[in-house]
Amino acid sequence: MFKMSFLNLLRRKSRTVLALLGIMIGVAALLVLVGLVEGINALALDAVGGMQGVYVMQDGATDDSLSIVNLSDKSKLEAIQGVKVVTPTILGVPQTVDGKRNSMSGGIPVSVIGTDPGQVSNSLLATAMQNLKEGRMLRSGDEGVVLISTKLSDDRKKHVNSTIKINDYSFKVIGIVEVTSDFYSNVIVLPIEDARKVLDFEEGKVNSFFVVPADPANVDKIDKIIDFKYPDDFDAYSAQETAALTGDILDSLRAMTLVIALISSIVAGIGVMNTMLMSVMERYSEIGVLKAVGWTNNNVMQMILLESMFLGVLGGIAGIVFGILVGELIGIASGLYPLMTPMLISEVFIFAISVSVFAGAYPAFRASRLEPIDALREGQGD
Amino acid sequence: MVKKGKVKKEERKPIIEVRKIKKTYLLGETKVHALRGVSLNVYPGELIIILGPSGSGKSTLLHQMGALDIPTEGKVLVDGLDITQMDSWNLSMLRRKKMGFIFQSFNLIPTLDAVENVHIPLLPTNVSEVAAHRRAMHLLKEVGIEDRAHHKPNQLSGGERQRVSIARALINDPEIIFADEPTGNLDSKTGEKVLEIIRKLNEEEGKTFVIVTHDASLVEFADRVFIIRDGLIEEENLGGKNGHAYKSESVELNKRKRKK
Ligand SMILES: Nc1ncnc2c1ncn2[C@@H]1O[C@H](COP(=O)(O)OP(=O)(O)OP(=O)(O)O)[C@@H](O)[C@H]1O
Ligand SMILES: [Mg+2]
Repeated sequence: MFKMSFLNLLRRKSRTVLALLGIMIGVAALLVLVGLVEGINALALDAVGGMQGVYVMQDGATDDSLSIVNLSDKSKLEAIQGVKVVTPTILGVPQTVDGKRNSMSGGIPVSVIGTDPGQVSNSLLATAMQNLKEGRMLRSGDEGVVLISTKLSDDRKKHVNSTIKINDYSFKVIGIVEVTSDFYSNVIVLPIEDARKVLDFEEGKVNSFFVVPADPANVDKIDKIIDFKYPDDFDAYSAQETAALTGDILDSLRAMTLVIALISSIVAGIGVMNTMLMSVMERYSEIGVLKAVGWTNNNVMQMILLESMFLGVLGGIAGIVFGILVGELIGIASGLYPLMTPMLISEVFIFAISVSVFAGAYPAFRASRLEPIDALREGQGD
Repeated sequence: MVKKGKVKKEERKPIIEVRKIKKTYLLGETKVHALRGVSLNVYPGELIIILGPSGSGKSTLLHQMGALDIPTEGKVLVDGLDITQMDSWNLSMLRRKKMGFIFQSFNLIPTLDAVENVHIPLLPTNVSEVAAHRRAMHLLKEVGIEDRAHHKPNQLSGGERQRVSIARALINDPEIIFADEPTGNLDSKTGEKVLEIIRKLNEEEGKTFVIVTHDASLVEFADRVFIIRDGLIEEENLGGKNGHAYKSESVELNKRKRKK
């Protein structure tokens, strides 16, 4: 019956191809969009995933650039049992770099992160900046010097000992670091007081603290203690929580992909249903013969469902190939590659098959209900 | 002699008993009485012919006997079981196990080659693909076209197509085969070959046939011939097989009509 169903699809090739196109485009759209959302998600997770500490912001702030805390509160956090180091962070986006406007129009803008120069390895950047490519790390007591990311070094042709001007201040590059997260790809790291100067940040204030426990296993514990002890001063986040925060934004994107999934399944479904209905109508007399020679209603239904399923399988495969190609192109064009996991690919594949089988159900039902005699008579019209 | 023959017939159990069936179609407001009270029995090994002018109800009768349709009134018993009480699944099973069909327009599946067409009835059964194929090949050989086994229907002549459909009707080893104008779409020479196959199947293998035809030449192989007119059986005659020199005005009529 497999072969027979398959051959039936080959009868009206252009019609079959049309139905396949519907499925293919739906599958590809879904794959690319979900892949993009997952790609963004992975980037976000990358940035915070390995974070071995607690991120402390102003109570109620959801983003560190919107958070302002007193530098003097550092001691409150240091007093908590099990805390090894607390590093303050000031971050921002400068107006100009080397006199040029630093805006979105030139891609991801350059951001400036100021932290305790002696504690870069205990800062929020610790996991993102691991490999020093050239020069040296910041040391305590450093002033007027910066670390820059490899991308920045390539883009702006900066090397160790080059000068870089941020807003109105000039700095000497002392090190170039490789960043593991694209979130920090265009970053300048500098001593916190230099950052305050450059960004004109209020004296005695910082954006956030990064609290590193003596025992990494205690991250969650310390997170809870801070939230419990200083509910009105701070909001503390562990890596998972930070990821969850980013996740909130992504969830709304996901909801959008759901809408697109719905639309594409309707489009693909209508294509399959139309194709199968027409195909059933054209074959009234054949189906009548099948029934006459002893096929049951269920046998006929199976045949039509099998044909619909083949449409789903073929359309699904075509859509996956097409989607991967489009994703690759988007990646080349924008630098953001959709993340298409085998899991996602198998999900859209199953999606394609289920939509097709579901859409084939009505034509299959219609075909199965044909009376052999009516079906035979229909065919004698010629 | 005649008496004895008759008694013998009564003792045999009929495969098909048609009891006072009526079939009425509704065409909008008007009722079309296609069958108006027909009764007849078919016994194992018989070759029955149904003759009659166009529109007289021949096909309708055949469809009721072949469990393809259910009469409006009356009963059809197949092996003693009333098909008018069966649901569509049981009817399918009945056709699958006991019946074969040959149609005027062959009704082969165009995408499948000859052998594949022959084993279509076995596809939904648990007969293995290999066994079905072997049997299909054997049947194609029996109808004399095994060398055409891998040709698609559109690469076959009308006579060859009809032979494929005969093989298809035989694949489930049915007790009874129904044929609606099996030679209707064939020229007389090809038609004769097809009839010869049917005759052999009946005489040498004992297959039971019910044939609707215009073709009076088949009458000489028949056990009995029914003449139907306006939905009623007008005459029942013994066929040439019983040693009767067959003569009937109706047949002559039919013959003449066909030549025209
Ligand atoms: N589905 C139907 N709806 C309405 N009327 C029908 C239907 N099927 C058959 N009839 C009518 O019933 C009558 C008998 O039809 P049937 O097909 O049995 O004739 P037939 O003897 O086989 O004729 P032919 O030799 O032309 O095949 C005809 O008048 C026909 O128009
Ligand atoms: Mg007819």
